[in-house]
Amino acid sequence: MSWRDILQMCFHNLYRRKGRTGLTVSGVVIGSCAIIIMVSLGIGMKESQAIMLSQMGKLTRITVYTAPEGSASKTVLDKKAVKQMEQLDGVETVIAKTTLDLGNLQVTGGSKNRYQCFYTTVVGVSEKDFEKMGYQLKEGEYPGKAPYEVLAGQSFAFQFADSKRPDGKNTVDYWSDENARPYFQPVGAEVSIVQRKEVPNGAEMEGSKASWNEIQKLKITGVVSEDYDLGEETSAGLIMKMKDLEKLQKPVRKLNNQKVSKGYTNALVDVKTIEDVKRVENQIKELGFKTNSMESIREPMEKEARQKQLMLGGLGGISLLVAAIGIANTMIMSITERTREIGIMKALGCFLGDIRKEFLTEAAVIGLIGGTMGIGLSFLISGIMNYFSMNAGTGGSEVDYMMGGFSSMGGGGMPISVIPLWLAGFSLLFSIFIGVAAGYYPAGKAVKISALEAMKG
Amino acid sequence: MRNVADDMIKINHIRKVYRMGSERVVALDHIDAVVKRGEICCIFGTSGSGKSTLLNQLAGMEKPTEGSVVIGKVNITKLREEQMAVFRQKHIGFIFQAYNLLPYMTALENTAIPLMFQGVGKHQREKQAARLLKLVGLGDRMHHYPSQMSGGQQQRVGIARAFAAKPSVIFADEPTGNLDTKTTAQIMEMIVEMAKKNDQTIVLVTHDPEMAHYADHILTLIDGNIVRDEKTQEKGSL
Ligand SMILES: Nc1ncnc2c1ncn2[C@@H]1O[C@H](COP(=O)(O)OP(=O)(O)OP(=O)(O)O)[C@@H](O)[C@H]1O
Ligand SMILES: [Mg+2]
Repeated sequence: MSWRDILQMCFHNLYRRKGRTGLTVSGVVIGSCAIIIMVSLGIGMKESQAIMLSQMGKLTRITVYTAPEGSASKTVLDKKAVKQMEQLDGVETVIAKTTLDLGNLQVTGGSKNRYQCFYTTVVGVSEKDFEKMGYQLKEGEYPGKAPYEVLAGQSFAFQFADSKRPDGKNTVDYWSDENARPYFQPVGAEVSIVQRKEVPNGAEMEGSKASWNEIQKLKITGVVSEDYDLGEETSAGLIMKMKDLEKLQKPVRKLNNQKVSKGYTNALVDVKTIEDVKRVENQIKELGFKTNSMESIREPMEKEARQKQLMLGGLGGISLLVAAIGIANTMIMSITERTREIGIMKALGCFLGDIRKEFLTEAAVIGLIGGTMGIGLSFLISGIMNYFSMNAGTGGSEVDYMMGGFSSMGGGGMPISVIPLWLAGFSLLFSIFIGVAAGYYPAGKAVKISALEAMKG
Repeated sequence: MRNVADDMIKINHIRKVYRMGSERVVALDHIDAVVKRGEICCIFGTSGSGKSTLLNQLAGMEKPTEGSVVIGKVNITKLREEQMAVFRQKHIGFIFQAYNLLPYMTALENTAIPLMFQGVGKHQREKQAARLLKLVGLGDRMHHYPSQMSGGQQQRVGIARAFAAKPSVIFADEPTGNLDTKTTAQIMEMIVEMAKKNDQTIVLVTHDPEMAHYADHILTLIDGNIVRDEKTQEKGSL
């Protein structure tokens, strides 16, 4: 028999028993739907997690520190170490960064130190790494060749207090007033790192009775957008060229009575994919450094998500198993009813293989139809669930609670059910496979029916 | 006189015993016979004499307990099931008492079934089926389903189907058992005429003595034994 004839025969037979075929198909629809929805909830959960994690920080970044003083390791985070890390498999970029600890020094601006900033972060990054770092210029430009040209963080200029105004009214409310303007325009402005010396006797009047010891003037050439992945200095700090910062280390440390430590403060290692993080992090630890990455948060979360996903998929799998039993049952019933027909076919010379093929195809078609409809229904259910969970806002919704609140943690409008194409395709293939597997035993039974059945009655 | 020199079916010492619990039923008891090519062979006997059992052994529907059946040059007793299917497709046609048409197929499709099993394309096999249906006088019923036809009409489809693949032997177990006398005569004449045209052999089971009229060769069975094996040289005389 040709495949065309087998298929036609199979559709005839399925159509002849519409009611039963329909019920069996609906079993598969429910089964495949259960699998798709369950797995899609798992994927949705994972995606919300990923987004949530990425809001917490860049997932492919490892921050490397020199091991704390006094620890056994004497490895210095220097140029050589950076080179070593750059050569590790999977590492994309390594950017060294040094923080200048101002200690009791401060930064002032305006004439005669009118504007005073009590705390800020000052970091040094090698000039050639500015681009690699990915700083987004909001205004102005990158520092030029001249020494002590610097970049300021987005809200750096708002950190200053005006010493000519009374207490309580001497700062700009950057956080709640969106029209707020800083006391001075940062781009082009000069600020100084200074040491304030109180005049020991005399009345305490802000600023007037203090003397200022200027350590270094800095010129702001540009303002960068705030991005915590790049460091807190992009918010309210200053970014200097590494070579300028290194020159400042000695005097600043001395004024604070600190020793000058060797090497960089830390290094930002970016790897190519999330999968590289763990391995590279371990390799860097072996070099003798302390590291930090999102991996320590991400891994247990992923593990938990995977377990939940497995459980959900398993639940769906059980429903499909029930559907498979339904298919087998339908096929056996059909074969019992068609015993005579099969006998006739055999008496007329039908190949055993063709009989087997016909029944397996019938079972596969039930799986195919059920699987296809299951995909359609799944997209519908998934859409409805997402519609309600997104409109229910953050937290509170039942499904969200079921999912361990991940979707709301992921920030409001995250879909809780995600059906990727591979899932739809896989479930369809699986439904067909289930059909064929369920049809295997009944088909074997059909093949064993004797041609003599045709002669009876 | 036709040329019927060669043997079509050789029945060699067949014995068929059915086991029913502790009881044994000897349905056929050492039967020997030869059916020549082109013969219309009638197997006669009362109910329970073993006619259907003998036919089933000849057609390879079941294996005899002892002995063998040779059709043409092939010992069909030795064929495995898959080989038997091929042999049936090529050499054997069947006409059933209960017509045995497939209910979800039209007369045309039913007639074409043996060719479909051989893998013949739809167009070609239905052309042949249509030709045969016209021959049995059902040119206007080709697209009817079995449930829309009378018994006689269904059996004519059954005959067309038996001849569709041009088999060398056609087996028929009481093909007119469910039909009235007039229709029986029509059907029998049709079978004989079609078989004679292509020198096909017919083995036909009946308990109706009237059928002798159409036969060249009559085997009479009583209790699983052939009690008479006669050839009617000329047909036509009642
Ligand atoms: N499958 C079987 N199992 C047991 N006994 C059987 C079986 N088939 C036939 N027999 C027995 O074999 C004997 C011959 O049966 P068979 O069907 O060949 O008779 P028949 O001549 O065709 O009768 P009828 O004219 O009624 O069809 C009977 O006694 C019957 O009971
Ligand atoms: Mg009988």
